[in-house]
Amino acid sequence: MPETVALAGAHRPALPVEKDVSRAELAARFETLLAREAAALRRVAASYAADHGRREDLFQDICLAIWTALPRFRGEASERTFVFRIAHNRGIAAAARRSTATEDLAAVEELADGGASPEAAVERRQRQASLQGAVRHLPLGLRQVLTLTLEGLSQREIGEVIGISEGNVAVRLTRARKTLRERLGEDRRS
Amino acid sequence: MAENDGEIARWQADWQVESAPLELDAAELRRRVRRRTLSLACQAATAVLLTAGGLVALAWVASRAANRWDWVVFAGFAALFAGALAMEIGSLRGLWRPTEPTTEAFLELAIRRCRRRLWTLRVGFWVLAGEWLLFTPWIHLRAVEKQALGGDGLGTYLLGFGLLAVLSAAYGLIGSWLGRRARRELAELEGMRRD
Repeated sequence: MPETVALAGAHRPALPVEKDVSRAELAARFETLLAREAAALRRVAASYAADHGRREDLFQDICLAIWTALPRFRGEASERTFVFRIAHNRGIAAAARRSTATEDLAAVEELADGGASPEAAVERRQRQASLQGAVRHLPLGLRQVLTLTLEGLSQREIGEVIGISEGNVAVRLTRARKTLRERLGEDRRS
Repeated sequence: MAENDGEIARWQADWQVESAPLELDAAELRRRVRRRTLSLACQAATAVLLTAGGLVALAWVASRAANRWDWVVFAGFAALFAGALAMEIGSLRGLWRPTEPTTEAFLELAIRRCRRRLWTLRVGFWVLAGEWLLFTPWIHLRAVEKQALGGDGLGTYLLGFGLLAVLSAAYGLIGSWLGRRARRELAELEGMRRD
């Protein structure tokens, strides 16, 4: 089910536009891209920031970076690769600027009302929070490969985003899964 | 492998738990674009103004130079200024964009930029030291000259060294703070690269 993204306001930020792409076309392209990928980009932000405020800031930063880079995108890679690359770059920059390494309590995200019982919804939320927390503790190289895998990218696409070979992706994914398994096992025991 | 595929599928289901409809505030996005553009414009304008201001001040003082020591100091200051500017511009090479459109290349670029910020701060301290070396004898000569003409030599010392001290303190405080931030950021980035 596609995520619903409501864009508040009728105006778009003013940016230089290539001659062959009108501003309206760019805006439409941006909206389509965001409608498709906003939830995934939010999850990428969650893999870099536990704190709800920082996560929202990072998400906005990612959207801004995509909007700024979109006029220069010439289809050298898929749009998914393009947006995930930007998202992870912004995540790296945000993680480097973070003043403390302490993990704040993550605000629990509101879930869509899928008709599930409150208990089931709480359990889903807890599993998601636990998984996100474990992913955040992974070393960067493993974290990127795993989150991109969980977003459904192929190993070839993941290699394009990060800049490593498919073989390297497979190796990192194996290590990431092992580490995550151990981490989730520890969380359950504690 | 089927068991492992099931593991990924389970994690995907937990990872992609559907969130409530997202609201992207386009007005906030617009404000951020404006703020960033303004910030970049201010930085560029500040650099241009400081450069122009420095050159104008130099030319004005040089036009009032009474003796060869004044010319020596001004020539020395101009050389320091030009040297620092040339190094600043030269050091920007390779820092505009990542070498490839990948996150690994972006990480390398972020590390290079951090190192460059630290290098710029170190150069700044050397430039400051150069200014002390240049202006200390000049202030002394001016004070002696003023004293000989019956003026307030002490006032010249106080004004001259006072200005240098204020400039040094300001640079020291700001430079230290920026340096600590850059070192912390560099440590994080290098840690990520090791990962």
